[in-house]
Amino acid sequence: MNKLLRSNVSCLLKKLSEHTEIYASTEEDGVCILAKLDNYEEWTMNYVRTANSVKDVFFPQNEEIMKYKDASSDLKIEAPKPFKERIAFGVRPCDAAAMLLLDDVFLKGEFYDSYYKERREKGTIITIACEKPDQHCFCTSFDLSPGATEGSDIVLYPTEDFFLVVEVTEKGKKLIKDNAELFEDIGAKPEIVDSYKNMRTVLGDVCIPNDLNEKLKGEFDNSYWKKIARRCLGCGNCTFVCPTCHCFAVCDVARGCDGKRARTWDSCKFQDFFLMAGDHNPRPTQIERTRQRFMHKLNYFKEKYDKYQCIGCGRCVEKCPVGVHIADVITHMKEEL
Amino acid sequence: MCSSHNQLVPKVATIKKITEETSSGDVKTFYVEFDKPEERAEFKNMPGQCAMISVLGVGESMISITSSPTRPDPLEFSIKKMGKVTSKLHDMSVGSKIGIRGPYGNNFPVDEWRGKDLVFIGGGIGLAPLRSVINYCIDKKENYGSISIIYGSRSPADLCFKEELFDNWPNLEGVEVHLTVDKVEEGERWDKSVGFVPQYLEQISPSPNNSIAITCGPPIMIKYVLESLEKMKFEDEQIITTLELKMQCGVGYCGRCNIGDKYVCIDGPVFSYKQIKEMPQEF
Repeated sequence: MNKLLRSNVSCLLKKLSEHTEIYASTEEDGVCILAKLDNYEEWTMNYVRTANSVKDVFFPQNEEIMKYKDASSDLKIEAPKPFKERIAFGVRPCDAAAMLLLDDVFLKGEFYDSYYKERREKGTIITIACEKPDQHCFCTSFDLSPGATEGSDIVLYPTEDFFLVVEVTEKGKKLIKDNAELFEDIGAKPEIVDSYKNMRTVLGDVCIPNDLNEKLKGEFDNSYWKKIARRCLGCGNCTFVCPTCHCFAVCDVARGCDGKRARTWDSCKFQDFFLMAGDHNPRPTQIERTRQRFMHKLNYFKEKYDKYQCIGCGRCVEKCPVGVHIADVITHMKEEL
Repeated sequence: MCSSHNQLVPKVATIKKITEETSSGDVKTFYVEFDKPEERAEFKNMPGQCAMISVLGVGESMISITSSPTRPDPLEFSIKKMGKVTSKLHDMSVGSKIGIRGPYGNNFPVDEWRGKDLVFIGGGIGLAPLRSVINYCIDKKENYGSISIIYGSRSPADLCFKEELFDNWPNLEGVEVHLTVDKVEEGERWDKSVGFVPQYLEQISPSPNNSIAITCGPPIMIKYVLESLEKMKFEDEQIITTLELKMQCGVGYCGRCNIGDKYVCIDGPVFSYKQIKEMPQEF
């Protein structure tokens, strides 16, 4: 097993940046985010979870789908140029695992998403295991842990002054080999890794019954949806910070005869999200939209992909202004049904 | 980026002809050709499937393909002026460029219908998706039993595809056309039924024996047609309809058109009444 000195991280990032874009955890005005880094000294470990998740690196909030020229007589449509190789550094294990859920949506169906696929193929995820989960974390409810390796290429396990390095994929192995001078083989030390994997999160006992999705099937008209929807403000925070939410809107931006088509994240919590031409809205109030969000995560997604669409990162809990908590929904449903 | 596999980037097509279906001008049929013949060859549609039509600078809409693959060129889309994209399309003229991507969604299960009598029940613009499968079955008539088309609109002027309704379909062997309108204005010529589609359907009362009923139209019409078909002892598996919800990607990512764990864009638009009954009633 290799180790990586913390003091070598900036050096590693700088070296990797020669061929790739680096997205790393950094602090801006007291908020830690995962952002494109130019100064590699600026990476930090001063966070439980970054405000945004690694989803941004592969499925950005706004992106151009195509450009077009002369919409009327001699229409030309152009797809974007190829993307650059990219490395995300300092990702949390839950967020890395969330990428596997996005893979299901964007890569596993009859049609794959070209933009996402290319970024994923050109991307490497270097995760740092969580030393101190906080009161919002509940990854252990989804068979993950502060030391989980799902979705990561490399996982770094922090010790006092260095990281223990676990290579998870071939991609990760190659990265370490190509930068061998910055790593040092220290033989096996699996007990530290195990201690991370065995760590429980505070809300870790929100155990999800295996058949929760089955139970929810019959609960479409449960009055509980109405109860929690009453306090929902429809701000959409929960969906925007979620590493697994994938809904987007497509919009055209015209400048005379030329323009571009872009997609931007959108939210099932917004009134106009489902609104059709002719003004029909199948989910007209926050009751239907609240139900849609939780049923999608806990029932529809599970039916389709055999996984719950949540990894317990706790962002929606932390950011909800009115305390609508997915773990409460799970607990309530578990107890009531 | 390899654009030929990129589902979100449309292909360029040209409007070759436009016909007005209704006298109020709210429904027009657009005859469309891909600019590159190889892109037409890749576009392999079956009856009931849809395509995303782009008006660049305005947006995209999912529109059913109204022409049958047995009569491949040009592709035809009958479109009612409803929202931003369809309104802009209605302002376009012959020679205008649009974008097309698809075909998307499932199709009418035409192979499962072999040897059966087919009853098509349409209302208003709902005949557009049915027309593709009606012409498909007519062109392969040897595979099917009798074909009945029961169609209604608000007024005689609002009937779509008048040439086929009055001149073509009724003259074909084994094909019957039954027309009704909600009301007739004074002085308007109309010698066929007056009344709503569900009641008219019950009057005609096609037999459920070895039959499939396929219905498409405004949601309120579908609701009562389904009730009438149940009354007439059609089983849920014998009833086929289509659903429509807001769509932006057409390929199952954007998250708008789900009903339970089904996405209308990829799992639909065609569903049996049996499938619909098993879904959360949220559409």
